[in-house]
Amino acid sequence: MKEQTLSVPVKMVPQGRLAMWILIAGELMIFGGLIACYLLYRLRFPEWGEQAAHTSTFFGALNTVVLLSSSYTIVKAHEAAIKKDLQKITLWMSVSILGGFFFLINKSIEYTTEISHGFTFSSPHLQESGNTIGSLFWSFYYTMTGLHGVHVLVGMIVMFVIMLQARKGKNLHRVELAGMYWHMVDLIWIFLFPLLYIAK
Amino acid sequence: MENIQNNDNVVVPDMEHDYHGHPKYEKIFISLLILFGVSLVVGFLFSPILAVALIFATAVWKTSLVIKNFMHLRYEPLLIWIAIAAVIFCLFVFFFGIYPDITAVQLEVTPR
Repeated sequence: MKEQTLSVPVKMVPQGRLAMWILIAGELMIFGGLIACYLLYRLRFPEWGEQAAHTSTFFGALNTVVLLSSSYTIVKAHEAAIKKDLQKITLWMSVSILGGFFFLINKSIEYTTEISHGFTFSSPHLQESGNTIGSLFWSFYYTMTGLHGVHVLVGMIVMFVIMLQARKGKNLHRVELAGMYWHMVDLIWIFLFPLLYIAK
Repeated sequence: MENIQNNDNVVVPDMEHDYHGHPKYEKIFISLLILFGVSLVVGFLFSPILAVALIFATAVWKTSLVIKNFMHLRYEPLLIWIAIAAVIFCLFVFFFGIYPDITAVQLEVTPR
């Protein structure tokens, strides 16, 4: 019996990359929908600016630099994977994971400060004073940054697993796929930062 | 663009030849940091509306730099560009579709 083989042209997107683009498209719909809703409410309620004034621009800016830098280091890991330089892959991926760790530490410090000032997901003190619109800002803030934080955590785990494989010389093409996910996490933050920390 | 096909008919990039080209990552990274600096500075220099517009312009610029160079979209075939453009189009439809519901309708948000 003649074995059937799939005819694949040479110029074709690798399946891993194609799957990553589909995943990224789906993630962009989730975050894009949230950001679109936030923008509409922000236009509807300019008083949200008063609430945004309570977020820390310093920590937001610091986290932006951290994510931009870790995007650079993961792309350097990909470059090292092309050269099959296993030591450099491990080095650059470790730095990227550390960047994610640093981001989450900053975020937790920020959350602690905000929660200690009474700005929680439902902000009861704002609701009791009749400022329900103000408390809605914090619901959006925690939803968007919390969901983003979960993506950072997932990205770190994915990078760690792929780094363990790559240091043995296995599945080197996955370094780039992990990088694509990490860049997407960076892209989302590029929009969250001005929305939540600068537009006051 | 060089790909290899393994025994399971899965197309994986040939790491010897690489699937796509590589821009100068250092240059892109420095551009991103400069744009980030600009977005911080304009917040203090201009009127709020102009500042927000400029900040978003730099955010879009930064996004295009990352997606084209770090994610290598510039080396992808047209189909991938169309897929990403379709997502952006859907988001615009969503935004302008619910725009009247949120901005033009009287909202009664009351505490429980």
